[in-house]
Parts: sequence; C-alpha cells; structure tokens
Amino acid sequence: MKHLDDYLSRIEARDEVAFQELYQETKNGVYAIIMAIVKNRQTTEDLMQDTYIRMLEKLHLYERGRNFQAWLVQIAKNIAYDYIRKSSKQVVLDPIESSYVFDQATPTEPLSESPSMIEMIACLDAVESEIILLKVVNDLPFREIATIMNKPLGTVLWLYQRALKKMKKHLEGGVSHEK
Amino acid sequence: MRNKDLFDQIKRQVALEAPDIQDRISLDSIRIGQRTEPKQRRIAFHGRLVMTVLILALLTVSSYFLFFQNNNQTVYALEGEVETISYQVLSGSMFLQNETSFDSVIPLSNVLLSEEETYFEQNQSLFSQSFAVLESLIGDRDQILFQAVASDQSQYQQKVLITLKDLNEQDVIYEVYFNQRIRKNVQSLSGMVSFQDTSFQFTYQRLQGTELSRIRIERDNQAILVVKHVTDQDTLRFRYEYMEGNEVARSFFLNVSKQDNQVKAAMVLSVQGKLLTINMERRHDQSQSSLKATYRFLSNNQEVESGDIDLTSEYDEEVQKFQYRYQVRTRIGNIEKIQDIIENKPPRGNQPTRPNPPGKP
Repeated sequence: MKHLDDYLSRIEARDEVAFQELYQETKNGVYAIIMAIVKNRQTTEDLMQDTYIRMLEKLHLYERGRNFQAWLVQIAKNIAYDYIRKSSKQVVLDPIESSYVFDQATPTEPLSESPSMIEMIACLDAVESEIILLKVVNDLPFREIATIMNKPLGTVLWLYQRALKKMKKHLEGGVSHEK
Repeated sequence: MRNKDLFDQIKRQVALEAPDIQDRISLDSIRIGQRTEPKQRRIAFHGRLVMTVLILALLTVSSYFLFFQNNNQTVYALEGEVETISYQVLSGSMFLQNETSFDSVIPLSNVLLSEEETYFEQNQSLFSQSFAVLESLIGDRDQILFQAVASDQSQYQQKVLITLKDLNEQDVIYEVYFNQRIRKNVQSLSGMVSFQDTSFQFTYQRLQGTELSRIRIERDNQAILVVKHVTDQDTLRFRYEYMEGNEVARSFFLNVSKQDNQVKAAMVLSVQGKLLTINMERRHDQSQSSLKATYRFLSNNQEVESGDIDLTSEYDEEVQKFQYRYQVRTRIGNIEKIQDIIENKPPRGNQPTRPNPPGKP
C-alpha cells in the first residue's frame, strides 16, 4: 500500500485528480467494512462521505510509510460504530434498501447468480465478517487485522479459517435472496 | 470451492456495489490536515555545549557497538526459537516427502553434461521438488505465521500452527506437536509433524559452538534427515543431511534471508568441485503470484550453466490437477535456450484449506 502515500502530498496541495484516484483505489475496502456494519446502502454512502472527509481533516496524523489502507479502514470502522451507537435503534437489513443493491447489477449478470455482499456474509457474525472483508477486500496482512480488531493474531487466524469454511458451505449450498 | 474463487466472487461483488460518491467531496471546502515541520527551538550557548558533548558521547558509544557488537544487532528472517525450530522441522519434513527426487540428482560429481540436454533438463525433478517445498516457505513475511496454540493431542504439551501461502495464494496450514525437556541445563524437544499420508517424529537439541542446534527427523526410529542450525553471520543457515544408516549420503545448505519484508531462500549443493546454487523469491504481480529463481552450476569454479526460472501455478479443472508452468532461460556460455515447460501435479500436503478438485468431496 506504499504507493497510496504518493497521492497524499498532491492531495495536501488540493489536487482533485489525486483525490479521485485515491478514492477509486480505496473505495471497495471502505464500502465493504461500513456496509458490513450498518447493512444499509444509503447510510453506507453517507458514512463513506464522512470517512473521506475525516481522513482529509486528519491527514496530518497519518504517519507516511505505514499502511494507509489500514488507517483509512480504521477511520471507516470507527465512524460506522459511532453511527450505530448514536442511532440507538437496531439496524436491520431493510428489504427496500437492499433491493437497490441489486438494481445496480449489470443486466448480463442474472440476479440469482450474483448474491449481494451482505448475502454472501450473512452466515458470519460481525467479527468474522470484518476479518474476511479486511483480508479479502482490503488485502491487509493478518498482523494489521489483529491490530484493527484489537484481538490476538492467533484468534484472528482461527476466526478467519472458521469464516472461510462457513462461507464456502453457505455459498455452495446456494444463497437464497428475495428481491 | 477454492479460496481464490471465493475471494474473486467477493471482490467482484464489492466492486459492483461500491458507489462513486467522490464528487460529493470538494477539497476546497475541507480544511485538510497539513503536516507541520517541528519548530526549531532556540538553544542557548550553554545548552548547545551540553548537547555537543552528549552527541559526541553518543557517537563514541554507537561506534563501539557498530564495530565490536554488530553481531547482536542482526535481524533474521525468522524471529525467536519457536519460529526457527518450526521452520527447520517443517521444511525438513517436506523435503523428506519429496526425497526420491534427490536420489536422481546427487552426487553432483556424476553429472554428465551433454549437448542434447541442459543441466536443468537433466535435473528438473530437483528444481521442481525444491520449489514445491519452498514456494510457501518464502515470500511476504506477514504471510508466514507461527502460532503457539493449546495442544489437542494428550501425548504432546505444545502445538505450533504454521500458516503459509502457496503459489495459488491458498492458505496452507501445518501442525507441529512437541514436548519440552530440560536435563542437566540442556534443552531438548521431541515432537511430531503429520501429513495426510505419513508422519515424522523429530527430536531437537540445543548445542553450543558453530552448530547451534540439531534436529533429527525420524521414521520408525531411524534418523532419515538431520537439520543443523549453522548460522554464522547475518543470514539464517541450515544444513540438511540425508542419512543412510549412520552415514551422511547427501546434503545441502539452505540460507534464509529477509529483504523489504520478503523472505528469500538460497539452496546450495556442493560435491567434489561441483557447486549448484539456486536463489528463490516470490513475486506478486496483478493478482498472480510467481516464484522467481536463478541458478548457477559451477565446476571447479568455472560456470558451466546458469539460468532464470519463472514459475506460476493454476488449477486446471479439465485434468483436476495443479498445472505448474516453468518459463526457463538457460545460458551455457554464449548460447541461450528458452523453454516453456508444463507440469501437472495433484493436490499436495495435509492442508485443510487445500481446494478439493471439483466434483470430489
């Protein structure tokens, strides 16, 4: 992730193109972690916006040479959990909101063959989902994930293996989803 | 389902869903946190004098450590005793699983070079099996993990779980069990590594002098491989000795180093004026992992042959085997030969996460 640092000096000089490029390179990881926590498309978009704004405001606190993606995802995670705490109501998967996800799918991919990310990780608990998404989508080393999750490395590895098995069983059994 | 397929499916779906909201953010309206250079404080003459003396003292002390104590500052590719022992036990056991290949290669002194075949072609099995063992024991240091966990076997007190990444970017997990003993201030271990079709017992003894420790890997109470830890300077160095009775039948060195968080390995085989060195490292380009190797074969200090090998792997669903592709560039004097070799291998090891061939449980 060292190359992401290259964008930062340009962003400090208010280079919009550099920001657009950084966004494209990091958005999947940020989206995945927020969506996994709040499970609502519209809220995820709002919190992604908050994440990138906070990242820009706190850019001076990021130590160059470290893992930028890990730092950004940690901000995203904090913002998502702040939201959950403040919204004081239980967040559930809204069928209307989740259907919007399917509306974004390209027509060439039949919906029945393309379960949403939330459906794919539905078999996992919150911690397992975060570990899987930090590893697979954000491509973070296990040691970094252990730091973000505030858990011992061994626990993270064990949860990761267990989550993989669960997901394979879940997906091979055919994920059912209703539009 | 293979891990890779699962990962691809998740990544694809996330990429499809992740929105483009960057236009909602205008850099002009945000107060971007700017890094500030630390302010230089004015130091009075008295302070500067004290600081100069301190710097000179620090330089003197650090020079002493640099010139006289530098061996203590070395950072090795593996950290601590558990990792170093586990690495030797696992690599030794994996080499034994492939032991037949070495029969056809050593002694090097018997190598007959012909114009028909290169040294690489004659000894492809040595390269192939060495890569099969080392492909997961080199690469990103963060992907080579050793964890001490609670033992689930009553006869052993300790267990180490070793998680590695193979060329297909699959996690592979090995389990090493052992008991620890200290007798007359000498530490020793005895334990076991098991694979799908076989298991190996081992004993470890810590030593002093040029040989730091010795591991005997056994089957049916017969030592079949001895791994000696013979690190002398800044690179971990292990000597693997294949035993026939009490005699060393053949041996080689493995040097393990770390550069930019990448673990690399070099195999060195030397017999009667013949020297073969194979340097190996992992690369990762555009979601595909590869093993890059360079080799040199010398006879009486003269280079006979050298080459570069680029190894990649994919699972071929047609034949339900892992397909290994070797792109080899061999140099003999001024002559260069380029080959593209495909080798099919069945799934290997005792890895619980190894994908099952499609259609099989």
